[in-house]
Amino acid sequence: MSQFAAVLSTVFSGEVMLAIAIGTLAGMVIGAMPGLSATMGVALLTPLTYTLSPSAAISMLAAVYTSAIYGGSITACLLHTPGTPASAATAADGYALTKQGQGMKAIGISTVCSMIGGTISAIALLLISEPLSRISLMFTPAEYMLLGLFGLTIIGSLSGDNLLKGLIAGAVGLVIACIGLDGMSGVPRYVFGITRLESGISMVPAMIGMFSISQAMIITEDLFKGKSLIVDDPSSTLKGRVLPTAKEMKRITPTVIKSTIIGIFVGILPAAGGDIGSWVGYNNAKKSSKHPEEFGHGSIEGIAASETANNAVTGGALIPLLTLGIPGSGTAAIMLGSLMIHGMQPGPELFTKQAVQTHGHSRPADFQVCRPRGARTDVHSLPGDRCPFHDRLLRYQQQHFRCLCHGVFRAARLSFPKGEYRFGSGHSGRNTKLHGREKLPANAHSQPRRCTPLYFLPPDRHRPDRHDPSRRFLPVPC
Amino acid sequence: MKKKLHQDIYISVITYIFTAVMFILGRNIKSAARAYPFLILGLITVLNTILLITTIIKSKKMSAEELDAVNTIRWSNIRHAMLTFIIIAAYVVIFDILGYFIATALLLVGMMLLLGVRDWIVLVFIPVGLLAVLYYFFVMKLHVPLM
Repeated sequence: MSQFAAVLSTVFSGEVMLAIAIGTLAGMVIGAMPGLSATMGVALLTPLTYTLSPSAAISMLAAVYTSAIYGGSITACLLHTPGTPASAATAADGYALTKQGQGMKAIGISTVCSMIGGTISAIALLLISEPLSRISLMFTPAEYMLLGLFGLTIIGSLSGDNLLKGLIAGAVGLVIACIGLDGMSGVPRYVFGITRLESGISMVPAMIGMFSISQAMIITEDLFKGKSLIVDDPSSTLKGRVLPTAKEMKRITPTVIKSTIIGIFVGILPAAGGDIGSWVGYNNAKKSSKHPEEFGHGSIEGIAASETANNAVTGGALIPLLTLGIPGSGTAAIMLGSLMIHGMQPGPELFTKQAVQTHGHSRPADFQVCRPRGARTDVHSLPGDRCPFHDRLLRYQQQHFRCLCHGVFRAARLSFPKGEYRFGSGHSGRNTKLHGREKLPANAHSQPRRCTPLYFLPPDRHRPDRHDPSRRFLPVPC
Repeated sequence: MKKKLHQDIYISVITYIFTAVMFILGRNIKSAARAYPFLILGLITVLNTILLITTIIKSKKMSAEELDAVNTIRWSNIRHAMLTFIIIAAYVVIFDILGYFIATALLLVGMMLLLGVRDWIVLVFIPVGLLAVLYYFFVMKLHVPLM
């Protein structure tokens, strides 16, 4: 009870509340601007948090994250231009409702469902982060491949009347996704010598092209035909009841529950974000709806599904970030850096050494999950103690971190000499040949299963001599 | 009434051209890396051929009036939209040459002129005001180089 009171006093302090209010407003504005995603919002506003306390800073960034995802739905509903990739699934139904003169209804359903999805995912973050983080550890490349195949099946439900054209469009999208460096070999494909294309076509410019520019073209054509208003009926404009009625709430409740679960599940998966969550939620809602024919033509279930799922992703994405130190989305990756800037090391220590700051912006009840067996409940007694769960997490975090670095290492290895180098503990008996100019440091051979380039190590392993070429490889204690 | 081609036939032809161009450009890619895109291009070719055949069979059964009703993509329907696209494409080209602010100002003025705005106060103050706000927030406050 004393921890809970300490957390409440942190959360409801003037500084934290003001930071949350500013973060929410800024996040909504950034999210509503096409081209500025939640990731960019968090990255842009991180420097503004330098002068704040860790609790206020992280609260503000969490507020920016969640409200930016919601803010994207405002322009998606009113202008058919999603402010963030996560709101792309909302655009069709939200804009269809706006054209019918019920724009405020679309905004209202989006707001209510975003709030429900975000709140439930925050409660999940609060109460069941341990089992959820275990699930996220179970995902291997095979499961990711199946998830990708499942994503492709969404084409079937979005193709409308002509499935064949939908499949062709999906395949063209796959070819465009090939632009950039090949993920397996690092060979450039379809880059035409342009360096900027080597990183591929990212989601934000693709979304602007698909939604914003096409909408600008449609509006221009409409204006020349004498249609100066978006709505079909000029007298209706932006009318409509903002809050959904009880009947509408009853209709969308099953969708909201399912989309929340989907959103949390997608959120905990590393590399899957709000855009994937919203499409999976939308697809599921359409398949299970009694009125699938309404989807794409102003279905409130469609808006509810995508908006609930993309906001549920926000809490889910923070679960692997805070418990394992593994970001579940691009925004969570930026927040990982922000946490470190404020002296907080994501992972088990976040619930021991920095428990008050962590729970101040996320979940007070997690003390039950993270408290070591037999340890006292006093927050300040926790540092130094770890439960077996956290020991496993820490080991996994170290291994996963090196896996993430492996791709970068493969690109960097060109600068090393010919020779044999065994990378990481997960590559049993498999050697990686090196080609380059420099000599491989002696300790790399002496510690073949414990070496990682120093500049890829977590900050607590940084050393003053890290720029010394002879010390580029250092042992990583496991 | 003269019978026109179904619009899906034009879509098929454009898809064939896209596939051929990507195939030719992909020949220079090393073999291991080009396997996946070539597999997808092969899939597109198969699907596109099915689309073309089914469209030809379908359109043979349709009368000229029915085809005219189906063909919604007409030059008169997309003329101004294509002009907008050309202006945006020109913006992308001049973006690297003139920088963000000048290119964006020219885009805004160009689009407003296209949409029939002739009031010079609007033509001047909207680009200047918008870019001043963007400069203040992004360049001065958030230190984002919009160049």
